[in-house]
Amino acid sequence: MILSALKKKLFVFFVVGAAASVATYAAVAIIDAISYNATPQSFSSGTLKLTQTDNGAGFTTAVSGLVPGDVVNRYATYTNSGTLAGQALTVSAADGASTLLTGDATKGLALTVSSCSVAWTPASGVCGGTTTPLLASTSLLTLKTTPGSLVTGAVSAGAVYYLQFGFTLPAQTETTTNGTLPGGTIQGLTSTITLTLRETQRTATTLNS
Amino acid sequence: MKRKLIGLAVALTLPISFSYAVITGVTTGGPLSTTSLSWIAAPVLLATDSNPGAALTINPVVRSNNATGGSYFSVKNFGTSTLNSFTISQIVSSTIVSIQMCSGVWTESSGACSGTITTVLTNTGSAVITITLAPGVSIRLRVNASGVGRSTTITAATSRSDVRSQTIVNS
Repeated sequence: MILSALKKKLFVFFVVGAAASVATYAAVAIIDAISYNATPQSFSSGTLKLTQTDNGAGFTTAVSGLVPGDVVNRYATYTNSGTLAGQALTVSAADGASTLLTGDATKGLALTVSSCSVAWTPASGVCGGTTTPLLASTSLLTLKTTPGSLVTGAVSAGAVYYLQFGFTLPAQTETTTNGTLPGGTIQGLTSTITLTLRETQRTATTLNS
Repeated sequence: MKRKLIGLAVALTLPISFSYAVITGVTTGGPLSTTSLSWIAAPVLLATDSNPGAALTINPVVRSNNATGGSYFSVKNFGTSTLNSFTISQIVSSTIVSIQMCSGVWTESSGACSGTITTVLTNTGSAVITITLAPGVSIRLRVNASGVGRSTTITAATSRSDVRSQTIVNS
């Protein structure tokens, strides 16, 4: 009897307590304060563009009739035409079908690159300003796998580079006997070369202002 | 379940690192086609013959006391470069076999030369013939033998020095 009364009291206690806790939870309100900039903050990203223009025959007019020792200079103008500064300008080479012209580091074509402070005169190869060597003689075979560095530092936005590309077939001796070319000959070969210039964005920064 | 929750909690508390790509500006020029020349000469019986890729062996008609004697052959430029000279060699089976050049034109039926005849080689040996041969062009030469049954094996060779000098071209 006593136990039954105690159970009833406990039951009532739990029911009332549960109801009270539910009532308390439902009554809590959250107060917050909000502030925002009246003028939206504008963000815009820069652009990095490198454009190339042939100067003279450029890269679309074929080079034919090379003999060892020949040098063919071609000219092109490069502009960092985006809004961002770049850095680390490099040149690399690719070929459509590899022959010894682009597949032999000793016998094949080598490339030099020089810049002029003003546009080159392609017909004469004259630089009317200051000439700066950018790339010492490097085989195209090497440039196919390892880009050559032209500018290590900054390439400012809007910067213009007037470049001379010197293709050299190294001097070498070959003797052809009775109409049969020697093995590993450099004679009578054709390669198609694509030169790629590449720059990367300037170093990312953290600005406080 | 408990371990997974602990792992998740630890992962969420670790610092988050971001990797970002670098923007590159790229431009290509070309493709630029480049071709090298070839310097190829070979001896052939007729100027219309194709490249034999081998030496030429001749058993020349004996010319002694016979103005119409001798045998003729050509050295032809099979390459793509103009030749300024070439080297001719012969190995004879027995003396005397000579090779002659005409500054004009041979009349092979009579053995006459419209210009001056020059003996460029006598017996086994080699000599340089300085003459301009455009691609596809040949020079006619005569082999004289002073006795019956003699033969000569003729070789033509060209090297880098037989074609034009190196140039620097700006364009």
